Amino acid sequence: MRFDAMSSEIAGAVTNDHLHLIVNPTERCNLRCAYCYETFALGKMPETIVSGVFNLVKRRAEKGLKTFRLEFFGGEPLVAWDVVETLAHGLSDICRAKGTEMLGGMTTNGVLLTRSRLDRLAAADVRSFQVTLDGPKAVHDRRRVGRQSEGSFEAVWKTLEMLKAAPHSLDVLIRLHFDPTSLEHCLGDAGFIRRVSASFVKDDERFRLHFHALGRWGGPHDDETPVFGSPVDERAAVEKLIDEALAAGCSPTQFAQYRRDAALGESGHAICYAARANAFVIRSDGRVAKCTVAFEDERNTVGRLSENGDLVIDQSRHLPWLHGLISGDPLALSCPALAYLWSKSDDPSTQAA
Amino acid sequence: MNKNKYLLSAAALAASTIPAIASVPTTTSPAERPALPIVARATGLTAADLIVGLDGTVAFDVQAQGTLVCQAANTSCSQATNNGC
Repeated sequence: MRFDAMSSEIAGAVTNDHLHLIVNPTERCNLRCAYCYETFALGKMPETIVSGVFNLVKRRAEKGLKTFRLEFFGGEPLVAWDVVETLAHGLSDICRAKGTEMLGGMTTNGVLLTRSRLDRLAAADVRSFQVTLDGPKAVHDRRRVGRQSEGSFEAVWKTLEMLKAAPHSLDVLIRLHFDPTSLEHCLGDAGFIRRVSASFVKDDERFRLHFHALGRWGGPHDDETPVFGSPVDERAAVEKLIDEALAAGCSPTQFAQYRRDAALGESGHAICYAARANAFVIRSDGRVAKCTVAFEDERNTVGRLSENGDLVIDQSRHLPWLHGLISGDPLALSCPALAYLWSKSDDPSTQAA
Repeated sequence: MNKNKYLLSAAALAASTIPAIASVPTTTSPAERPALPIVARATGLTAADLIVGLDGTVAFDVQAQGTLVCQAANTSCSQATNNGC
């Protein structure tokens, strides 16, 4: 059965029935997380690029696009709320008019997500939210801090409570960061997993969990970021966390990641969006990228979106990201950035020149 | 848009010597690859055929049942001589 899911996922990574855009309304952020790799250099998406997104999706919807996945990323997307609101409602209107199913989502730190904004987003079919916690308040507030180093735990927790109380049909993914030093705070009867499970996840299928080990993702404080010594150690920790959540009453269907026999990359998925032929990141200045972790690597810029909706792709830049679809190499599928940019694959066709 | 159906069907795949899909685990050896890689081996499809047009469509659309459909006119895909794309 696992393989059937994988086959379907590979087919879905190539089909033109589906388009996946990860849109950065801005690359500025209200937080300065200790391990962040972004530079916050790009501000709000201008109207010309907003028009480009509209025109691209309209063109595809008119040609029979079946599903359109829109994901807001950043920076923190809600810093540019006006752009988010304009894009969400405009794209939802386009899709509804043409019979295209829109699946909207957002990766947000949660601090700026209010009930009124949630209502506006849900009305525009943006119903999936990924919100990150780094552990209990003492740990989270050391790492996920504002520009004056103030902690964000209370605000994020309050947002999760707001989502929990909302009547909407939602898909809330709580991404729990962990590392060798914070693992102990997560486990046990008084541990953080039990608290998160009891507060949000248990008996509410709208909530899911994803456990993600901290990594050295290219930020200025990488040397201070605690990481596991090997993928095997990291995987063993994930298994402990999953077991803890199951013991706390969560359902196996509430885990975003596969268990034990899966190949997982930084994306946490068997096939990362960056390895898909029909998925693109639209940066706030109109550059088109594949990976949201490597914005500063020029090989990640594969094209440009023009105001009329043309997606001008440099094929020689784009194709190396897709080698996993042809080779089947699990690493190139689950994390092409590792395989291609950082050359950790054993498949020479995926390695950088 | 030029949509020429390419040769491969699920039946052709099943008749080939490539291992049946259902027998292949997710983490596999290079000789046992799932769906699209199997298609690629059977047809000579390469990453270069996955070029993307101005509207974001992929040149070769691999349908769920294993049928390849050439989506893009005026592409330089390597299958061009075989299917009139």
